[in-house]
Amino acid sequence: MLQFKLVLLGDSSVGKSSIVHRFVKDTFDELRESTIGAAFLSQSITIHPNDGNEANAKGVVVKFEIWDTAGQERYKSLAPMYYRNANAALVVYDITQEDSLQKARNWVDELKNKVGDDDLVIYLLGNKVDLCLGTPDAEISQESNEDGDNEQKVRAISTEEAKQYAQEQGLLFREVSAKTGEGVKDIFQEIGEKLYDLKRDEILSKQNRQINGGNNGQVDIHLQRPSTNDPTSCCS
Amino acid sequence: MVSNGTSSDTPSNLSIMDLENVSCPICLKKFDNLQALNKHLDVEHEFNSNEGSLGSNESSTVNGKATKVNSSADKVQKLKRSHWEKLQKGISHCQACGRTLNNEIGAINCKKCGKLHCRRHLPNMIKLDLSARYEPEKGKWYNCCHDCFVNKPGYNDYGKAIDLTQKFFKLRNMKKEDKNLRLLQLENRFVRLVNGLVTLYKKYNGSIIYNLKMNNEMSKLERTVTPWRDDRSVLYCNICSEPFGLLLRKHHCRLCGMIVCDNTYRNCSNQIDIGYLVSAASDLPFDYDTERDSLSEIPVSVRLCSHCISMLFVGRKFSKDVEMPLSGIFAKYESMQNISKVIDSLLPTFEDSLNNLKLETFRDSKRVPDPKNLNELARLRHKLLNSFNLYNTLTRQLICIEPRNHVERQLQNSIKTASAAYINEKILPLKSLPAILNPEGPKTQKDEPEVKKLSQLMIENMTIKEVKELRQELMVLKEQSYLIESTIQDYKKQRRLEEIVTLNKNLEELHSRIHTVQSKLGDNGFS
Repeated sequence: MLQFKLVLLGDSSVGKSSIVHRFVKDTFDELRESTIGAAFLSQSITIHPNDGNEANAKGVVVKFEIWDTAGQERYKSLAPMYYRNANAALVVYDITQEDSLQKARNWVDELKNKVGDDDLVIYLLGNKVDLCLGTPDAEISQESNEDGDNEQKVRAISTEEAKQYAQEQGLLFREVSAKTGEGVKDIFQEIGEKLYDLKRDEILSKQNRQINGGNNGQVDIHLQRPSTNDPTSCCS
Repeated sequence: MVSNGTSSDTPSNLSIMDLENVSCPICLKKFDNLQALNKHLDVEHEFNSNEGSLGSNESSTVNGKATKVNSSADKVQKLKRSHWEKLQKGISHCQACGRTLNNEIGAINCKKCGKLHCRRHLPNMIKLDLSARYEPEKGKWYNCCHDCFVNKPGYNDYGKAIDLTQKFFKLRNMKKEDKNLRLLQLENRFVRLVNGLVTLYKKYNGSIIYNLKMNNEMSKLERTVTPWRDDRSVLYCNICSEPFGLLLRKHHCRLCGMIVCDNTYRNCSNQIDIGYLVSAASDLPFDYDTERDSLSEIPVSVRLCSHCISMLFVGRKFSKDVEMPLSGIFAKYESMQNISKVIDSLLPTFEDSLNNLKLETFRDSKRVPDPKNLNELARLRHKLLNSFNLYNTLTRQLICIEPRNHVERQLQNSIKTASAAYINEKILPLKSLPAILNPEGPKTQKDEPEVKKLSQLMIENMTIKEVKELRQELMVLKEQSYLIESTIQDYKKQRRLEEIVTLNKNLEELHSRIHTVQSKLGDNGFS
């Protein structure tokens, strides 16, 4: 089993916790309270890497240790502790909030500066697509806002804009909805596979060591067991 | 933008901001904006003018030609024109906006300074005499440019200020007089009532017919003091407006005669012992003395409504409370306030001389500052330091006082926070002094102990902002470690041991970070 540390970053109330809860528990809470500090959750998934390795035919179990950080400014000093040593970072923004993308950009910059690009998979996520279903793409239609549905909001950040930014920076990108669950599972599958690809050599060498090492690596527990004949032993 | 009427040119021309259509309340003429209306009122209806008659003598010139607006203008003597700037087509510019003047944007001379302006930049009116000098009394209204308008004597840009204090006092005094008269009346009645009741009591006390006579006489007396209202016409309590009935009985206030209820919850009226009443208003000229006649032992009471009680006794109680010595916290706070006043008055002087010193050393780094100045500065700082110390001690003493109730506890906490903030804020300039003095060498080393004392009060080499940030971080870290601990507990119950390993690792990290921050903060952390 592979373990990956994953951290969520982004402005407050963009839906970081909602995404995690959709992934881990498959629930959605309309009135989620804002996160305090950083919450810890974990979830395992199975990925099917097609690298021709027979050992992986049944799929590889990947376990994510997810740190869901609070978006509020107050907790900003906590973030470095959690994105340090992280394997993947989900930088979330809200497609209906103009400045949330700017915050996301800031996070991406900070990650690139402090962590270094090579080992870290950064995933840019636009959340809340369910609010703008009437406007599937970049075209911003004002009419949709006049509909009776109060929930319907105008998209403030077009898909193209975010996609272009993600390409420039070499980020993975997807627009999702934690409310409907659209795309949420796919994110983690994608990250799992990507990380597996990155670490393949490492992982394979580890596996080989286990296979080749045979019994040498194992400890014979019988040897450590106290002899019943020993008079000094308490277990006589 | 079409306006009717004879004198129509200026208002519509001057409408810079077309706000709304307003009309003159007197002649119902329409205007495009308030400014135009104001001007119309000033000029044509002679608001803002002491002069008796003022015909609409307004004339405007376009391209140097005077257009007479009103027939009455013929009679009016012409204003001096010799100082007017000549219009040169394509060359003349508006004095204010610099645009080349033409027919489209207009070209008008300011009637005072004579400079040419476009229509937009001649928005003001000024009273001028015939030789174009400012004449607030007898002058007539003419267009003028902004500069002339602003430079006229007596101009201010906040409008006219009229002192209404005297008027207010007059009104207020009238109200107060009414109230005082009413109070006097009530006090007189009260004295009469008490005197009469005590006399009656003394007369019948010990007698066999006490019970028989006393009540009768009492009610007679009470009716002479104040006329009682007729019960029958009154259906509701005069104070709480509840309807009277079987459960809510009618009562008369013995001072004002009003009919009120005796509901104990709303306190519309109360039966109060005479002795108590007299001692509460001991300044009134009663015939009997509380102690000499031992009034407190007289079992006679009167019913007073809450209005009369508050009229008679609340003011007295207030003045009595004011005279009473302050409770511990307030007394301490008052002395703290006094010291903070001293600090506030000393600090600016100190900062000024400090800045001077800085400037001197900045200009010429080798120059040794005047020892006299230095001594003065040291003296000031010493004084300030003592004040801060005293302030600090007082705060500590205040915190040690056991509050009497929860309000005092809240007050105490607020004062504590405020005084900490105050010291933090004010002590900053004191900090910068040693930095200046130190390079001067051993000469200033004399006041070493003071510097040390200063550093005790100061935050070591950190600005307030840094400390605040660190404190915030510490708070967040502590919160987070608490959160993680509780998560670990949860996971232990659920037997998710692998996660606990991760969480424990994080908890360790948090603890080490907390340790770092705490050691950085030193004594400035939370206790």
